[in-house]
Amino acid sequence: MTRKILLVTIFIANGFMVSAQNRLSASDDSIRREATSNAVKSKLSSPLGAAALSNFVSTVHASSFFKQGVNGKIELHKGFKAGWNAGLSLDQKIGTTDTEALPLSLTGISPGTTVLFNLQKMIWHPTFDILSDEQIQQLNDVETAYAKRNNIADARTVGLREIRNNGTDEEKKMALDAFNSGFKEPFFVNAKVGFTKTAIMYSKDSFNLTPITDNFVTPTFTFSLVKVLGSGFNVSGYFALSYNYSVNYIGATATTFTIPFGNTRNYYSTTLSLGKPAKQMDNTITAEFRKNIFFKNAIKSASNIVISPSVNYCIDSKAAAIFLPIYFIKGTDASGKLLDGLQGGLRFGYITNTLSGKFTNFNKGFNAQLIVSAPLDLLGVL
Amino acid sequence: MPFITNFLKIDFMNINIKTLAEGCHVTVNIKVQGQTLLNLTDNDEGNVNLFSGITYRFEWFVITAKVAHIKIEAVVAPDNEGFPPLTIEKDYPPGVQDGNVFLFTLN
Repeated sequence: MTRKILLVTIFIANGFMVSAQNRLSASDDSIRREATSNAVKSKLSSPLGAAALSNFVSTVHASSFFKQGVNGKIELHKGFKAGWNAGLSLDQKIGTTDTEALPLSLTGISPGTTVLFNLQKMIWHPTFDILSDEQIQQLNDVETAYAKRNNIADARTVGLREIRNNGTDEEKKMALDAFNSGFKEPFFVNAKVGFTKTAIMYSKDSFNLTPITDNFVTPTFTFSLVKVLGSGFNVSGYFALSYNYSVNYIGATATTFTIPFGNTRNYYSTTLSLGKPAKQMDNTITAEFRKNIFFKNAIKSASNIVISPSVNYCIDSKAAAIFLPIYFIKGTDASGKLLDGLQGGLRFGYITNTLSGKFTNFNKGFNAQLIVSAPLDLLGVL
Repeated sequence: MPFITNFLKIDFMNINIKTLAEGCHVTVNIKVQGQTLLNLTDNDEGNVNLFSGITYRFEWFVITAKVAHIKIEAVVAPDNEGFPPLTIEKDYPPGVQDGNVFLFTLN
C-alpha cells in the first residue's frame, strides 16, 4: 500500500514538474538581460553590425567574433545609371571548431547566415556656376599654357588636380581656388533589407532534457544617410546617421548537464538552454564618423590609417555601444594601386546596459576584434 | 524640325557624350547661363542640341573610392571647329576628387 501511495505521489509530482518546465521561457529578467546583451554584442560587432554602409570595409572580409569564432562576409555590387547602386551580401558566422563556412546549403541558407539586399542612391550636383565666364576663360588660358608646356595635345583634357600637383605655384593656387568654388562632395541615401536564419537548441523539460531545435528567420531593415567629407582634392571620410530595425530570437544562457549513461557507470554531457527562446525587437540609432589619415613618404606612396568611430543606442534593449575600428593600410604605389592583397585592422568596442543607470564594468563590456579584409575602399560608400 | 530650322536659318548641332566610371563616380554637365542642358552620371550616354554663336560650359567632376579609371568622350555632329572631338581619359588613386570646366562656342 505504502509503495502504491509513493508511486502515485511521484507520478503526480512529475506531472507538476513537467508542466512547470513547459512554462519556462527566457522571459525571466536576469536570463533575458544577459541574453539580450549577448545579442546586442553579436549584432553590433558583426561586419554588418555597426556600419552604416553595406560595403563599409570591403567586398570580402572576416572579423573575429568573441569566443564563438569569426564572421565571414561576401558582397556583390552593381552600379546603375543616375547614381543608383545595388548589392547583395551574405554574412556567415563561423564557429571556432568549424573548418569551412557554408552560407548556403541544399535546403536554403544555413543557420547563422544573414542575407541582405542593399540599394543606394547618390545625390551629387557639383557645379562651377559661381565662376563667371571671364573667370573660366582666365582659367582656360592658364590651362592652355600648362598644356603647351607639358606637351598635352588638348588643353581641355587637363584636370585641376593635375595642375595642383604639377603646376607652378600660381597655377596651383588658381586650380585649388577654382576647384573649391565648384566641387561639392556627394550625399548618399542607403537602404538595406534582409533576414537572418538562426538555429537555437533548447529544452522545455529540465527533467528529461529532451532537446528541441528551432530555426528562426528574422527580418532586419537599415536606413542610412551619409555625407562624404573632403578637403581640396582628397576625400577625407564621411559622416553617417543610420536607423536599424531588427528582430531576434534570444535563447537563455546554455547550461552543460552531465547525465548517467543508462545503468552503466559512464556519463555523457549535453549543453542546452532551458526555456523557449524569446522574441526580441530592437530599434537602433547609429552615428558613425570615418576619417582617412594619409602619411606621405618620399616616393609619394601613402601609408594610411582609417579610423571609424561609431556610437550606437539600442532603444528597446536599452543598450549603448561605442566602437573604434582602426584599419591599417600598408600603402599604395606611385600609380595609387594598393600594395597589399589583404589588409588588417583592429576594432575596439564597449557595450553597456543602460537599464540600471549604471555603466557596465569595463572588463565585461569591452571587446576587441581582429579584422582581415580585401583592399579597403577609402571611402567605402562608393 | 529641319523645315523650321531651315526656314528660320537656325543652325544647330548635336553633342553626344559618353561617360565611363570604374572604381569612382563621374558627373558631366553641359550648361548655359546657369541652366543644365545635359547631365550624365557614371556609366551613361546622352546628347543635346546646341546652337551656333552661344557660349556653353562643359563641366566634369570625379570622386574615387578605389584605384579608378574614367573616360569621357564628346563629339559634336556635324563636325564643328568650335568643339573638336574630345576624349578625357584618366587613372586615379583611391580617395581623390578632381574636375574642371571649359567654355566652348560652336561656329
